[in-house]
Amino acid sequence: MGRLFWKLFVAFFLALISTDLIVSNLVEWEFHQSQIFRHDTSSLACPSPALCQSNPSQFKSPATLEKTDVQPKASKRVFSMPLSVVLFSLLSSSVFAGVLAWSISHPIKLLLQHLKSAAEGDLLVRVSPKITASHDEFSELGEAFDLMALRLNNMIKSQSKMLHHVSHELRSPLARIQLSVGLVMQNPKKMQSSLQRVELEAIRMERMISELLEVFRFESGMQKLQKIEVDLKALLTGIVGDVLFEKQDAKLRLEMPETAVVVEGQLELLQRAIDNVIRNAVKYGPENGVVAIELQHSARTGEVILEVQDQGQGVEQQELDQIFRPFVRGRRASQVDGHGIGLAMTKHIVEAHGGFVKATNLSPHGFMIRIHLPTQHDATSDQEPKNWL
Amino acid sequence: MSKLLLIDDDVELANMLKEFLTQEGFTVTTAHDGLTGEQYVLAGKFDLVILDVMMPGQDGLQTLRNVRQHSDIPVLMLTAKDDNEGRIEGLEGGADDYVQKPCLPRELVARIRAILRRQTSDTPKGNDIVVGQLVVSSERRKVFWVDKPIVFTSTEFSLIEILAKHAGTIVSKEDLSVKALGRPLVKYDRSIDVHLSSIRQKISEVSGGVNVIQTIYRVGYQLVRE
Repeated sequence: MGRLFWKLFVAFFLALISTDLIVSNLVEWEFHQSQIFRHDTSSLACPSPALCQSNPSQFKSPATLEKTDVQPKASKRVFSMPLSVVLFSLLSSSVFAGVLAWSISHPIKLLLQHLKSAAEGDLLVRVSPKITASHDEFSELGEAFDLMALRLNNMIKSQSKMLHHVSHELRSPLARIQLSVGLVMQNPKKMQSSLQRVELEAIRMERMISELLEVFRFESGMQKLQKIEVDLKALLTGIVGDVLFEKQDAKLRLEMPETAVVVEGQLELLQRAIDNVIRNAVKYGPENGVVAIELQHSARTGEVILEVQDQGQGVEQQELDQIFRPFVRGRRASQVDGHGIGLAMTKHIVEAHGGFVKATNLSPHGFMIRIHLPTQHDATSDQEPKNWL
Repeated sequence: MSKLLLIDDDVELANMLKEFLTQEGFTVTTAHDGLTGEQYVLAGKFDLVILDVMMPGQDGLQTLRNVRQHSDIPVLMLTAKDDNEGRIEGLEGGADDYVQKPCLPRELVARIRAILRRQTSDTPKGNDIVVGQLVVSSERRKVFWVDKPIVFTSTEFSLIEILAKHAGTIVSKEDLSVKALGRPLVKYDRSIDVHLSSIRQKISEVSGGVNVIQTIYRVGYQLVRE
């Protein structure tokens, strides 16, 4: 039994025992009052003056009664209660105080033990069903604790997995940098090409790290959505223009509705999500392949759908869901520059805006990414961030 | 001129490595996924395989296991894994040695040469070494339990050969590392232990559970003379 139990026990005990004593004394007092009253109205009242005079010893004056019948026996009473009643009060108060104190202190003690275990790193501890059977605020507290432990455990697992991936991904460019240096040492004439290689790898690493940090900030909830009304048609036109400027031989076909398509969201994040998908389509499509981009707005469901199709090989069937996980790249994609964060970011951003992303292989060949976004969207920034692993 | 097969999904790295190794006097063929690499190993005439562990599709460890079912060609694993588990897994799967990515290209070349030297070891030909029922033939690079052959990788053979030459005496891990792996022992390196464990298991399977290799804690190993 902890300190809280004894504090509660003493408090409840004192409350109960004092209540007992007061109530018992009141009852006793009431009883005596009624006795006196009955005596006054029956025993003391003379049926007839003749009878009282002929037999005066049968009737006592009220003063005499007070001194004899109604007087409590002080040796066996507390105030005016019999000792047996007092003892019973003490016992019953102890039992009730104990039960009450235990029912409050026990769940708190259990919760404290589990919190200590969690603080020591054991996040697999669960309070339920030990205190969640009572269906009261304590059970809600227990369920909240269990949920917290589960989520923390998932988050830590996801982050350690991420760290493992990151260390692997950073090793590849580092290995190429070391080889560049080795090639120069082997043959100084390769200085220029090797330096260019080192510079390229440094840029890649920097880009990967900054993207990763952005995802982490976003995921940990440090970066809340700064929502404005985003004109998707203008956004798409801008992205397509940028891609064509950088890759002039790319063939992009853009179809959009005539009416304005506006969603609520954070402009630069939506831009990043869509940009990743369109650049992927250009990158993985065949040399002269066309990338078809179509924006649809369903007035009935209030949903915006963006389809991006390429004429490439697509991904293997079992990889369709996997490609949205960070650092996962399709087997056919391994010979194209990239590190597999783009689509993971897209999924993450779209889901934070209340939408979803789907990948499909097209027949006989080709690949399509479809982004669904709601136009009337509830407060997604309040949605809990999902683990993206 | 030794022929090397390089299996790595990182095309740029593979091409740079090929360039570097060619300058060092090797003939290099590259493959960019496990399945293709496996077919090359089984079809081609290579002296050594450099195999990356993490590859999409069939990874390096699976490729190694498949290769080991048909061939005892020396295999050097390239691993970007930052844990001992990955390395040990590779060695247990039958790799001769491993190099952690990123590595100095010079070190990689030194490891390749050490493995190849063991292949063409200048051990004087002639008498087989006989220790109890174990027969180690340096000439054929083969090991027998009485007359049953035991299939060892190149590194495993080098280790058992050193122990057989010094049968009855303790050989330190440092000596084993230098003579068999061609490199000094580094802290926390468990390669020797993993190789010896594999050798023990292979001998035990053929001999019906006889353990001929004794571990002397924190010192080394010895092949027991019966």
